Amino acid sequence: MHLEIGEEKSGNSGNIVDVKILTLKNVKKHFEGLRAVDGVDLTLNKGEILGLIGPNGAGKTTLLNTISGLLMPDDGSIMFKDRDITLLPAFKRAKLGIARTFQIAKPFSLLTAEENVLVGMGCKLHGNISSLFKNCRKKEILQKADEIINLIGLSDSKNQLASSLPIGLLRKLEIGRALATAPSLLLLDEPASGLNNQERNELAELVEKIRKLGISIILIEHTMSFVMNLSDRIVVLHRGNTIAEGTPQEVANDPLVIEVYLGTKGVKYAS
Amino acid sequence: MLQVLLDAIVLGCSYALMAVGLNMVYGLLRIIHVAHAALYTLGAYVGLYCLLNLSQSLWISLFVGALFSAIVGVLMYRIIYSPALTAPRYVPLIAGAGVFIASQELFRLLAGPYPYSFDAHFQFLSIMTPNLRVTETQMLMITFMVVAFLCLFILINKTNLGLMWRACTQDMELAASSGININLIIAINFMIGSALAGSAGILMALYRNSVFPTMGAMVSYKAFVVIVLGGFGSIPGAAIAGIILAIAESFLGMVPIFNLPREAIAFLVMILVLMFKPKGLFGR
Amino acid sequence: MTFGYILSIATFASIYAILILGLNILTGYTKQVSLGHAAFFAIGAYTQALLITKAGLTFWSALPLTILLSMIIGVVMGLPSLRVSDDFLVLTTIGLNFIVMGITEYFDFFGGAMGIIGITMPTIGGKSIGTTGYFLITLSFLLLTICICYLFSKTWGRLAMEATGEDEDAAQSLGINTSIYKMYAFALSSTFTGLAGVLWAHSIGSVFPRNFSFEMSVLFLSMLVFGGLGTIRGAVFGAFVLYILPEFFRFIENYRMLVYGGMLAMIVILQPNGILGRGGLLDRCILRLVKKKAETQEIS
Repeated sequence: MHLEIGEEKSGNSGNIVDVKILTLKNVKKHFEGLRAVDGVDLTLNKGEILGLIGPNGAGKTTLLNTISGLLMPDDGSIMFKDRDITLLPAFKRAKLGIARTFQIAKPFSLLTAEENVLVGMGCKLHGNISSLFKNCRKKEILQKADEIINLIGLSDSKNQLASSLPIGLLRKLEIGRALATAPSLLLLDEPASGLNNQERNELAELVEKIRKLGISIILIEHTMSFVMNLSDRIVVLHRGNTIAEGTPQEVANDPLVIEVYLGTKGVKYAS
Repeated sequence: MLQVLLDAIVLGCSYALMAVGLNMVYGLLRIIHVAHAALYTLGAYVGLYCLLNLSQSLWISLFVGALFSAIVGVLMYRIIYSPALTAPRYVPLIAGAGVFIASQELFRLLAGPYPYSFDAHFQFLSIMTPNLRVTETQMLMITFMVVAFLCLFILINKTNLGLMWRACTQDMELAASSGININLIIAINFMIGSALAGSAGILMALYRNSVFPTMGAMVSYKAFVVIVLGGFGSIPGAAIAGIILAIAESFLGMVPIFNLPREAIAFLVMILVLMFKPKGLFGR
Repeated sequence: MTFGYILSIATFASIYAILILGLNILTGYTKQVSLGHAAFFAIGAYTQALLITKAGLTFWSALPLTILLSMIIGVVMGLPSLRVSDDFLVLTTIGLNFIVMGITEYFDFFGGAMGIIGITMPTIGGKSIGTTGYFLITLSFLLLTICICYLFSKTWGRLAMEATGEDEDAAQSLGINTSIYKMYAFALSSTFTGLAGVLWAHSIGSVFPRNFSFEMSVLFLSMLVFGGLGTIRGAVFGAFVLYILPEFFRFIENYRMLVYGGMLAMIVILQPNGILGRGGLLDRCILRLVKKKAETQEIS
């Protein structure tokens, strides 16, 4: 069992600083008897890409939702940059620097691609009554939006309504919109689903670029090659619990993981 | 006092019969079927036409009216709701409101703005005592509602069709992928709800002895209130809440401070319930 | 068709355009569908009527008070929207329409079913301004409203409102406090709608409960949906076309609600973005023309 990604990883890990940006302690979320997340401990270092994998229904998206604040955990605590955010609503967490994308892309379909990015850029101002008077189309703001649009590679279609964009661009647009909030933690929920190979490679490049900006990333993904290549560390969830954690090689070779999750796919991958 | 209560219960039957159709549609498609009221009025007009031109029998006119409403109800789904299912949620809502307004005008233009009387002679039970008078019509309404709800209860809980219907309310896609013909289920859903609305229209026309273009408006607003009170998608809830609402309206209207029009009281109650129990009083 | 008649049509069309611009902020931007906007209209008209007839204020002195009060009552009436999901907000707004109508009809303070009469035309420097003058006042208020709405469409606030309207989860994840923006939308919307109510009360000279029925609310929503949700041009276009057409074609008067209702259903199913909305009929026609041009150029 040998994994080629090993060398590549050691090169990247230089970016990772040993500062905990996110700490989850014993986080639980139950839905009427279903233990979607059942006591998960998790830490994330600054600049790290953490892959979160597990079979369908393992509680990955639920866990992500408790981090982004869409769901409140039933028990446990969440610390973000030395601050307890367990009870903060989603919009306040966004202001603190947690951004996310969604499993099913949720673009603002009646806004143009550029305006979608602008919504993200207003993150710190939103909610303030002055937002009702301040112009968001000033030159310097639009310039900054252009930078993000160039980064995600959408400059050709920035004035199109989001409803007219194909899924590949929508995925990128969602990431761009999240980046516009100037986050320090980015949560990506299956960003590669529905993409073809070429689009997936472009996306992987984009994620690498984002990491270079010093943003920590938690990545949920079903496409094994994608997540194994990008992640510094992998956490495997199964029925709401962490069953394995480690570098991609370690996880791919873990017999328990192969048994409960990777199954034939894992064997195929490892061979 | 007892008489007031009885009148309220009869009124509540019509609310409940209207609300159950709304609730079935909401439970299945998550659409507030505003155009449902049109079927109530339609049932009454068709029933009246039948009574005047085809047969003297109330039973036949009740059957024909309900049948017509059922057919038009399914057509409504096919024409206005089915293309709008994937659209933003305000689309079916606004479309329904449009059809509702248009239908009122259509009735007015076709039949004239003036109320018709609805004279039907039929034999049914009645109770006549010095304290309490339950007319044949009132008895018929109560019996109809009880029978209708019992049938519906058996249909949903004891039959195969009901099982499929419940599966669809849980998860439409899952139901479709496990081989249930969801189009058929939705059509049957609309058929039953619309038939009940149509018969409610005829029964109320009989009770009030009048048929007029805007007769569906008030009762349908009340039906909205009922589904809020009874809990969205809950069928027994609709029955209970319909009667409770009618009783509450009748008795609150007697208190001087609540001397507002009935619909204002009903909506006030609805808004308060929505504010404090957003899932309805008996909502799951 | 006399000059005075045309003038009065233009005045009313302008008033409705102001109202629809207000509705656009609520229903076009935050997608909170209001089928009870006649209630907000009534609040402006009734407040002004009471301030003029009972408190003896003039048009100009009562106007700021009325607008402020409209805004406050609008926010209060918007409070249920914080608790209620979008489907049931519609029922709530229908309810508000009936409650406001019921209150004005049943309390003598509001004149009951007889309404309030004797709302005089505004004066400037002690001189009556006549219908022409009043039209000019209305028109300038319309232009002012359009200007404000245009400037507002360039702000962060509008983006946040549209985001809230399209997807609350996504909006929250971008730092938007969706509850606050729903309230802002109610406040702004009821302000403009209140202004329309004021102008309407003065041009009619009286207010009655039945002027503010549920049918009016349907008409308002039809105007906005017809023109195009979420755009200024659509709101103004919808108000003008749907108000003026039946005035010129009197024979449709009898079928007015039938046409409105049917059109509302058809437009919203076939053209959810209206005639002039984003991605609406006009946009698509232009897009097609541009494409055709490009194609012919390529061929040549």
